[in-house]
Amino acid sequence: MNLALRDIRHHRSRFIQTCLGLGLLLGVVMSMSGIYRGLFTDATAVLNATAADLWVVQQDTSGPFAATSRIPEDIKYRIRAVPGVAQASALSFQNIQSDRHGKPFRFFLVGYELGGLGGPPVIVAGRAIRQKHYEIVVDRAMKVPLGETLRLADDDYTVVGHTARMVSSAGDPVAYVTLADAQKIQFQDDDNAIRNNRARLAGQLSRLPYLSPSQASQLTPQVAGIVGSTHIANTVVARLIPGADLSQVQERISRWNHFRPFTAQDQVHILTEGMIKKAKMQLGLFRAILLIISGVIISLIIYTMTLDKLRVIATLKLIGTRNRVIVGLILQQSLLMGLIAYAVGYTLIGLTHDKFPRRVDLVPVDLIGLFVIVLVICIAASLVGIRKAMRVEPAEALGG
Amino acid sequence: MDALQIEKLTKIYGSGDTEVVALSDATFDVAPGELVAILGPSGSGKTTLLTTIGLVTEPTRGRVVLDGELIVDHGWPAGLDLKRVRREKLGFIFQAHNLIPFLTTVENVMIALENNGVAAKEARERSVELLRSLGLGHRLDHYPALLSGGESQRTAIARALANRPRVILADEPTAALDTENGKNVMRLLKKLAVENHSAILVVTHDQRMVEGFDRIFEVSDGRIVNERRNGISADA
Repeated sequence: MNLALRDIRHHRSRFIQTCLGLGLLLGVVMSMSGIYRGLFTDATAVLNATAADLWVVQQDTSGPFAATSRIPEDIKYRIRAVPGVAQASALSFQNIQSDRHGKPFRFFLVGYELGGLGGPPVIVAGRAIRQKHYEIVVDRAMKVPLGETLRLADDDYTVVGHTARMVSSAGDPVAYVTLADAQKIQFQDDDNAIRNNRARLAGQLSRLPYLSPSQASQLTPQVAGIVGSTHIANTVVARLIPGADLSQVQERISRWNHFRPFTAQDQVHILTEGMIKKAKMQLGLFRAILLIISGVIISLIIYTMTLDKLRVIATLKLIGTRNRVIVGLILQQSLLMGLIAYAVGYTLIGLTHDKFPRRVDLVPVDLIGLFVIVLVICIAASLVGIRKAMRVEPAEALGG
Repeated sequence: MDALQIEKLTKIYGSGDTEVVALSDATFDVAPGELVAILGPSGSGKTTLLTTIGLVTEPTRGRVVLDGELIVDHGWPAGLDLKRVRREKLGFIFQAHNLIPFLTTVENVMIALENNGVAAKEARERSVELLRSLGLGHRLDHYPALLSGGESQRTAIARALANRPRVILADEPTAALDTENGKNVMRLLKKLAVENHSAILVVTHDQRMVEGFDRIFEVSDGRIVNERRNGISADA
């Protein structure tokens, strides 16, 4: 006869309520693991979608994700000429926040060269960008329907396609435009600023003693064109020929002044160690605290349940019940409580994880790990109750 | 062969100035089928006598032979499996019934049988039969909380009898019952003692219940001061 099941059957509602409460707690622990995994996936989403071997950025920076990097777009031609490089493209990245329907509207804008690296990896609705200007592909999470226009800088961009689950390291949905459009949005000054800059430049040139007024006036638009150039990128990414030596290519580019080449692995390290390490530690600490709380709660519940049964245990001992039966009563209840609570937590998080504002990745290794931890906690927690039960004297069954 | 032989059984708590003699030199035998009462006021040592025989309290001195097995020899003999002896040779009936609250009536009896290695199916059949014989056939699947005092005590008696022990120890079995139910329980115990050839020792301070006993030991200050057999008194 299984005494644990008999006891649970008798105290059904109390047991179920306890399991539900613990299940909610374990659900939170699972979500913490999922959020951490989601942070990692989000942080590396653009990096992975680009699938580049090298990321060339401004020297002495850790761009383009972790720090600002600005390099001339045309460095891509020089990179393409490096032996072993198959393809190189300039990319621009920027965060954009505006209002849409009266609510803050934030996204991460990627500018890429049509036919080059770094564009949307998958189009789930509509089509990819075909025109050089004023078309945009947005992530489905932005909830902007196909055909709608978005106003960026001074221009309207028509949504022509949707991607899915593309987010920046900050968790913002990603949108794609052509590099030229992105450069214009990011680097081009507005009309007033252009007029002011030209006037300032004209004034400065006219004050130069070795230029006549006519020369100064002819030079002004030329110089303004150079100064106001938007042919700037945040990074140039390169893909190597199969079999090419990555470290050799990296070493060669690193000898150039003003540029710093990172491998994809370096970027993963920068993103995970630099950008999400603290978040990871925070979530890890929360997980540990919640597991400790779960352990304490299970211990207390099992201990209280054992206290409630001291006279029963004394009676069982007096009528000759073996210790293993009494240990089984406590241990099985503890394990059953942990298993049911785990199932409740798993079901709960399984049904809700895609409703979270940020990605929650439920990874089997995390779930199995937590399952093992829960079992260990249950066994450890039951030891408190078992110790108490083993100390009960059969004599306690006697008397009124 | 006597079911129980007790010789100079003594229990002393503490030592020196704090020494308390709870039981002193108790000596008697109990035959199979005999119903014996141990009578005395609170604190007289009657429960100590019961718990030392029941292998719950270790005696200081003396010998106890239960069904031919030496279970006390100036303390518990080394290597004696107390639980085995309690399981196989002793049955217990308590003042407060001590039924397991989360087991049904039939399961409360079954557990005693399963403790002794009886398979679940057979344990259930034997338990049902036993409970029916005690008039509890209609209460098999009820929890103890739903039983009356008399029904609870009859269930406890069924549990004590399940393994057909040589000796049944009953601690104030009628204390929680009214007079009528108390007398019914005593009649039942007498009947079962004869039918099962079990010796039954009943600790009680209830003088109303002593009529049906074969022998009555009166205990005072830890000593057996009087023994009566079928109304014949023999001062100790």
